[in-house]
Amino acid sequence: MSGWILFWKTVCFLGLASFALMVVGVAYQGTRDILALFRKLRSETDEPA
Amino acid sequence: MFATNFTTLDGVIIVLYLLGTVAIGVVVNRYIHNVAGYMVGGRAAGSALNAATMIGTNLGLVTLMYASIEGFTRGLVYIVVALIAMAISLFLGTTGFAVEKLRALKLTTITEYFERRYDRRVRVVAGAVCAVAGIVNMGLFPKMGAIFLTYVTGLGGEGEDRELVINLVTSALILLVLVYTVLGGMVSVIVTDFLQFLFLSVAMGLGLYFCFSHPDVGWNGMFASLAEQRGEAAFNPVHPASYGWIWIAWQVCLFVAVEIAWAPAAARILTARDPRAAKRTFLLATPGMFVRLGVPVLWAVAALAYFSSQPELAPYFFPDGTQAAPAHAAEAMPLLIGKIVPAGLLGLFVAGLMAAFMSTHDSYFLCWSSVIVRDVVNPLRRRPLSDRGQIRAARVLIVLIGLFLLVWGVWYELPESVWNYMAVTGNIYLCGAGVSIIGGLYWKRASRAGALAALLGGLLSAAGLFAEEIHSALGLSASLQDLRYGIGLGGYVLCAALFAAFSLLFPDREREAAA
Repeated sequence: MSGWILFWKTVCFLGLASFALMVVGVAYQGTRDILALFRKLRSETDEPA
Repeated sequence: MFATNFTTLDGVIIVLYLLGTVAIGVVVNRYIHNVAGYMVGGRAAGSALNAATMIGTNLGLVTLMYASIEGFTRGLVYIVVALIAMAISLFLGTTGFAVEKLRALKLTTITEYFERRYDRRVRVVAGAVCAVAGIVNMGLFPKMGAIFLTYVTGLGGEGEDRELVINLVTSALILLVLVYTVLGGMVSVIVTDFLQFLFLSVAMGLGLYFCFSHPDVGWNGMFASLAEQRGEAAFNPVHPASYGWIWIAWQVCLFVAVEIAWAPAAARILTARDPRAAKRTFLLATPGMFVRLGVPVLWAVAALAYFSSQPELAPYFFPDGTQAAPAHAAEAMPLLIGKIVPAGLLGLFVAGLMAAFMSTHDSYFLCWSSVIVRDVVNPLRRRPLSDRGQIRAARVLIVLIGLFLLVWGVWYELPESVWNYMAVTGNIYLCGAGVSIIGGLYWKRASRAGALAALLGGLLSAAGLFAEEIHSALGLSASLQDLRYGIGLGGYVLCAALFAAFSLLFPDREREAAA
């Protein structure tokens, strides 16, 4: 039983830590992606029909 | 007994957050000028943004609820599903299996693939099965939202009208989601999902912090309490009293099919900037696949530790003692959060989870309406609808789906395992579609007869909803659980067999001639 507890504690710790790192990276890059998306959509609006 | 730390301040925080989200939807509407903009966000999302919105879509309030129900009744073993989802996301993200090929086709909906590879009839059948399975799958979402809000806020008090009050609140929320999905389309979904992803990440972190730091719970206390009350079955997924290998194999098939063929998830393949961004989306989203199921299970295990130590609430959740199967599993997680997160922060937390509720609804509304318009209505018309006509039709359908959800959510009785309901209703479409898409991409002899046979064969998976009746009618010696899991896995085996057999027996002559 102690082996299973250690296993799940390790899995949970690694899973949560990797997610925390991912959130930081995605928050930064995702904001840049949104700005680029709006630039693209705006340029499509400006094009003559 | 059900009082929580929820105050007026928390209510104000939630209302401000929700109004802000609607305002964003309205503002973003200015950027929508064509069908590609409305349905796939102009196919311009980078991989980071796409990964965030993918998690935002996948991480609905219903996800948190069904995972916490499983965690409360089964223990940590349910995190196996999170590990399976992670492994599949990592596999798709590193190999680009199916994902890159699908994105390269520049599809607007995943079901469009069936016409490109097979023919129009297959697309119409796939679209119809996909939309029906998807909308029924969504049927419990409002009910889950109602239960969550009832217990986290204590809004209904101790009275009998608790559910009525929250059904009204949930109805108002569905209307709110309808407004900004109808107005903004996929661009508003992408933007609001991104904000909701950030908000939700903070909210989940807060929830865990208060669980780990609470004197009656704590990191070590949670694991010790679970071990004491449930024994090895709560930790070992192949223990005789736990899920077992058939269930694990079913979940692997299910998650492969979900990532590739389930319209809301696959929409993230289609909204990516290019095939490489589509592949990277899955790689970046890998940790999110763990968190969306792992965190609610941890909350549920914390709830188990907390309520078993509360003399007033222990009989409510454990009427037959703490070592027997618990009762009221759906109410445990929200009530725990309401009791341990302090006022003020509770408002932020609930706003984060309401964001999860809304981000899933908006993506699902948009997906099913897009599928019906593009894959069922349009192919059946002699003259396809114009861009404007398609957007208008999608908006009408979104409103109709919203009305269906209100009705279904109110009268449908909650099953013992919400996850089983979700998996079985998903299977109806996913068995046939997953096999037909992967087979079509990688097997030259795949034919339209094979795809149609697989899609129609997948309908038999609905038998999983009537497993109890089938079990008693046939008087089977196998357990009800084994029958239920066997039907789930059997759907994929059956569809693969039908697909291969019908493709070989009825090949597409013109494709063979062209080759």
